[in-house]
Amino acid sequence: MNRFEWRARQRGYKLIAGIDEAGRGPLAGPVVAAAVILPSDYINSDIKDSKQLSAKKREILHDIIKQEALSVGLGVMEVDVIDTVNILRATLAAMREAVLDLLLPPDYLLIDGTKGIEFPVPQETIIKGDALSISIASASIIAKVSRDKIMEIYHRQFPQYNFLKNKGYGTLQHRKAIHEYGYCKIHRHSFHLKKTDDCQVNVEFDFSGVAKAFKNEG
Amino acid sequence: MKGDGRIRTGKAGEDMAAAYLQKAGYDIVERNYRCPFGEIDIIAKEGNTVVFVEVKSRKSESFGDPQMAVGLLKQRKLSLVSLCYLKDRRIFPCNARFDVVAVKMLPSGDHIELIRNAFDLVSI
Repeated sequence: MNRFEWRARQRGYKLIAGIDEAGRGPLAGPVVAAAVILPSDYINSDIKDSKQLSAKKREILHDIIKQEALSVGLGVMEVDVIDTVNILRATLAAMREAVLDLLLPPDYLLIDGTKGIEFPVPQETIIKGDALSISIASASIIAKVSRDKIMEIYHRQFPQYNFLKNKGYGTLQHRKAIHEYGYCKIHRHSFHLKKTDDCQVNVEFDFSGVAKAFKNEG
Repeated sequence: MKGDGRIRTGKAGEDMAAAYLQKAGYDIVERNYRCPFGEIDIIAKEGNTVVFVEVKSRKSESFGDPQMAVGLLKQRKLSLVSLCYLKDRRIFPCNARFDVVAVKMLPSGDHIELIRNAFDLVSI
């Protein structure tokens, strides 16, 4: 989990920030990014891919990272931004905000994914970075827990969608609630529900169309 | 009032150090800069270089030279505070270094010594 950080340090970089985001996929709520600078010799075998951790464990690690990291930065892009630009650009903007939010000036960035951000220091993008780099994994935990907390607050404002449980993701229950109550203030209008609307129930599990296509081919 | 005495010694030492640095051609930019990582006594500029100054004051020689009192942990802390400052004031990247001013206040008279580039930015 340390090899990307180690390699950057070998090249003379001192303040290496790991960056990751949470909430690119959901139908509602902000996209949240975090940047984390860890001490040079930092080891914590509990920190791994945030998706593999339980919510409880994530929260515990969130507090540990906040305490032990040299600096933690957060960037939040709300729905209006996501709908005006697009989700990719909003995500990159949130990442940039997170880096600017750090108390210390990083000299090297490790970014989860494939796209770099607009920031004048050398950067490296790592696919599945949250499973390969401890800095990115830490950022991923911070981003996820922070976003969950935001969704908890939105849940109190719009309880009919049960954001507490689905965090804005398009679960069946959430989509049903949208049918019943329509969109609320924090729904992403750029994310279209139309397809699931027309076909109604479980379009993902209906393979009859695929089977027909195969038959026609043969 | 024992604790107060130490703070008074420190404050007097910092005043003397600041005056000394000014005479030596430094521009004092800030005193007692504080951030979540800690504090830096004096931030000055010499030409284009930002100089972070740690002041060490002693009233006796029984604890050794004051400049010896900037240990590795302290160096690490000062490194963090300095970076925080440069980020905070948006003057990063730039030339910067750490100086130590040793102030000895002895009955025989005050003695001030400036150590330029006392240590490097510690790996953090």
